[in-house]
Parts: sequence; C-alpha cells; structure tokens
Amino acid sequence: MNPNNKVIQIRRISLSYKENGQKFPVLDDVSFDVAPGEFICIVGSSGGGKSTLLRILAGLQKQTEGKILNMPEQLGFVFQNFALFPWLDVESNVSFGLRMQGLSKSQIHKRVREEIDRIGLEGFEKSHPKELSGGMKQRVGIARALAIHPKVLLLDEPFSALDEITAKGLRHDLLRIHTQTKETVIMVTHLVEEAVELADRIIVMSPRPGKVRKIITNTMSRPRDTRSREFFKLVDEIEGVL
Amino acid sequence: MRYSHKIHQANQQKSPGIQRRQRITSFILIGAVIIFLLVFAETKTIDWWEFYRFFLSSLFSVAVAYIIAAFLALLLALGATKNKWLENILLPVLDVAQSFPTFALIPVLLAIFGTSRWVVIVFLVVTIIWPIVFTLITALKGEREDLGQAATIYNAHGLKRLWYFRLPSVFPAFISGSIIGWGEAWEALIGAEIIAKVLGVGSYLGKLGETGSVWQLVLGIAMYLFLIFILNQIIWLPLLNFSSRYQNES
Repeated sequence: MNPNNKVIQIRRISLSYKENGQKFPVLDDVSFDVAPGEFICIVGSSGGGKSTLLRILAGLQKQTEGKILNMPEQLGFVFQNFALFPWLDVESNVSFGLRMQGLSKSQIHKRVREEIDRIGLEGFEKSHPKELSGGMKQRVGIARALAIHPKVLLLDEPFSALDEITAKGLRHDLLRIHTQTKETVIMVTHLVEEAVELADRIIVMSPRPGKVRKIITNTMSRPRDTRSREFFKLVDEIEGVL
Repeated sequence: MRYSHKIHQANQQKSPGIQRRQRITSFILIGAVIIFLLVFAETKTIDWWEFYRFFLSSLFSVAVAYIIAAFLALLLALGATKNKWLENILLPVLDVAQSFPTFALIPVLLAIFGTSRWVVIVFLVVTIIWPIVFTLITALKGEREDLGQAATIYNAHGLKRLWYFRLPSVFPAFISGSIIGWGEAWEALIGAEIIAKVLGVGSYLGKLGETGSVWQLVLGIAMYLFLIFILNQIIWLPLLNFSSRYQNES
C-alpha cells in the first residue's frame, strides 16, 4: 500500500522545555489520526501550543515524547507571516521548492504557471514580496506550497495577518483547491468560525499545556452557509469546549 | 566614505526628490574637483601618467586583498555560526584577533616577504576582513527563523541551502561590511606602501612629501580622493542599492 494513502497517526506527542531546572510543558499527550484527503483544523486559544504541534508534524521541531506514523515526506507549509524570500520575485518564490528538488527548467515553468493561474497571481510574476499586499503575499505562500504537489498541506494561521475580506477570498480559494486536489490539509487557527467553515474534523485543544480536549466531526455539507443555525450551533459547541 | 553607505541606506527610505537633490550635489562636487584639477594641472607640473600607473598598482593590491578577505570572511562567519561549539571557540578568537594592531604586522610581513607587494596585500587582507566578518556574523545570527524553516521545508540542504538561502539572506550585510572594509583599506594602503616601499599611490605621495612638492602633494591627494569617490559611485553605491531588494521587510 502506498504510504501516502495511509492514515497519519499522531501518537502521544508531548513537548516540554527545561529552564533553570524547571520543566515547562508545552504539549501533553496529543493523539489523533488524519485520513488521506481530510481537512483538519486544530483550534485553540493563542499560546496553546498549536503552532508548535504543526512544526513538530512538519519535522521542524522535535517532540520530547511520542511518535508520528505514516507522515509523507512531501510537505507544503504555509506560514502565518508568509515567510517569502525577499530577494526572489513571485515566480522564483513559487518555484523555490521545485528548484531544490532538481526538476528541469521546463517542468518548473509548467508547474509555476499552473499554480500562478490557479491562485490568481497573473501579472505579478516579476514582483518582489515588498511590492505585494498581505493577501497577495499569502497567495504566493500558498502557491509555493502547492507547487511541489504536497501529500500533506500544513497551514499555520494562514489568514490571521489579513483583513477579513481578503481572508474570506483566500478561504474560498483554499477550499476550491482542496476540492480539486484532494490533498490532506492540517490547518491551525484560533478562529472557531474559520475552522467550522473549512474543516471535516476539528481538533479542539486546551492551552498550557496543549492537550486535545475534544475532536468534533463537521457533517455540514459544502459550500457551508456561515449564517445558518447549524453553523452557529457548531461554533457554540466548540466555544463551549474551549 | 566609511559611513556614506549608512547615509545612503537611510536615503533609500527618503523621497525621490531628496535623492535627486543629493545626486545633483554629488555631480556638482565631482565637477568642482575636476575643474580644480584641470586648472592647477595647467600651472603645476605633475606627472599624471605616473600617478595613474601608481594608482592602478594600488587598486590592484586593494582588489586582490578584497577578494581574499571576502572569501576568508565568509568562511570564518559561516564557521563561527555553524553550531554553538564552534561559535564558543571561534568568536573569542576572532574578537581578540580583530583588536590586534594591524600596523604591528608589517615588520613580520617584511621579514617573511621582503619588500614585495605581498606585504601590502596581506596587510590589507587583515584590514579588510574584520568589518566583513562581524557584519556577516551579525546577519547570520539574526537570520529570520521562519525563512530558515521555509528553506528547510522545501529541502534547501547543504550547498543548496548555502547558495539559495544563506548567501542571499546575508548579501546586504556582506555589501555593508565590504564598503567599510574597502574604505579602511584605502586608508591603510598609504602607510603600508610607504613603509614597504612598494610601487603605488602611497609611495608616490610619500616621495612628493619628501621632496617638499606641497602643491603636487595636494593635487595628488585630491586626485586620490576623487578616484576613490568615483569607485564608490560606480561600484559600491549601485551594489548597495541592488542589495536593498535582498533586505527583509520591516
């Protein structure tokens, strides 16, 4: 069986720091599964260890205990503050991962073109990050992540640095792309409404130390009406858990 | 010249009008120096061809020393920031080494190389290297964490990480350090060439000073400053401008 089609198993992940002989727990015994193609949102208050958990899943940080099984190697990561390379133009930022993979120029050009068209960056190919608005920067961040055709897309509060109108547009684009590509998505957010709008399942975490409080399956059909009674009921349920 | 790049960096934040006025002022200054030199060159005898030959010899020394120093500085800075263990060893060593009085090296260099151009080149390497090393170390230690994580996620490892991420991210600091080092090299050059008796602007001006040709000496120094100014305008300031696109957004 293709390992990319296996359920990702996050098992008893804990992380703590030691400072002056004192132990500071950040994450405590976090466990959940992620099915292929699933859209998961991790919700919790700020400083609760959600982003740390995402970095552990991405292999950027090491947990003190626990293990992650069946995590594919090909990961895309979208950063809260975009993390675009300021010396590269849009096209080169999007192609960064492809160049690191050693793809041919024609393959890189084809993939970059696809992502630029799909995410709506036409006409900005030669612009540098400092010439772009926050929304456009995040589009570049998403295009860079999608260009490598990731098996799992990790997003760390991708819309929290944007105004609501821009964030709404990008949420719709993300959902559209997820429907097209069927990639597995794990997204961290502190906005309950955002999680209810996007996710198939919502992992609700408690803060200090970050612990899974409840896992809620979102059965609402897409596109979701963010003003419906059902929507608000689920938001209330999650806020009650938080 | 040493601090002009800082002023220029600050100017990049200013309006185009201010930048245009400062460019006009630069051209007026250059024009005034040219007129001054032309007028006095008519009345005072100075062998310009000899001066240019000496200047080119000095420029060769500074350029070779700069290339060697830049390469070594890069190696030292990358080494000193590679891991905590190397940092703990290299940083104190570099700190002590940079405070060593460089002119004290000249007798040692003369003993090793005799009165050769290498005395000047090695002396200039030691002069140029420190500003580049320390600006690079500061930049490497201050690398944005999220950019480093993005490079890691997208498989920028080993030499690819160095070429596609680390070097571009420290490019503005490298240019700033280079401008300071290059400026200090021109300052140190005169003394080194006089002491080492090596063909160059320093020994030429030294000879004029010994013969008491005050006007020729003044003209020589003015020409020397003018040529350094021109090099700054055609090489370093455009590079500094170009490096601004490599800088992180505030």
